[in-house]
Amino acid sequence: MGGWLGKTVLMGLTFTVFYHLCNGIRHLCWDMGYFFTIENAYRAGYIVIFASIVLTLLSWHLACPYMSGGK
Amino acid sequence: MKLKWEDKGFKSPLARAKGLGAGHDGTGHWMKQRVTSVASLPLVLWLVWSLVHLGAADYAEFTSWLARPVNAILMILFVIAVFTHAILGAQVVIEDYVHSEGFKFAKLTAMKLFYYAAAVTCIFSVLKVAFAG
Repeated sequence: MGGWLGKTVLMGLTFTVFYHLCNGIRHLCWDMGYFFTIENAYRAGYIVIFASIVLTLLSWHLACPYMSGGK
Repeated sequence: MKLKWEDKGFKSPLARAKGLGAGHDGTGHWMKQRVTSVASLPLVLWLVWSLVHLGAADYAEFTSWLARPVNAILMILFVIAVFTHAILGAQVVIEDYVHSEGFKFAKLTAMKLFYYAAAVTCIFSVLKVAFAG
């Protein structure tokens, strides 16, 4: 888990979790009637990808001080 | 052209209202999917936040974290919400993409039994750590 392979897999997992979470919020917005035009649907899609990347990097950045030298 | 489910021939108004068309199911599944998704939302954020802080925790540190009532309760809620959500999601995938009725039934049953077994295993594990160390 502490090696580069484990970290890569965990980082991918973090991204998929956040992507599913953000896209789920996008779907909930659609359920409430927002973002129904094509361009807004696309825009929300790109925001979702961007937000997932940011949240993934943020989580790992915050986790950094707690991971003392790949335990 | 009249669709099959629009046929009024033998159906009372109640049966037609409950007939629910080709989906064989009303809005129940859809609503459950939304409710579990909203329930999962804070729980996922809590878990990610916690795991961030547990970055360098060893086995003893992690189990003592999980043994705390708040964490154990939230973890069990997380397991229930996420597994229910996963079952509902996997069900839709199977219903949409498996076209043979018999195989579909077998696959849905196997999937649900497997997910229930996995969920119970998770909950048991949390309880064991919480109560037996």
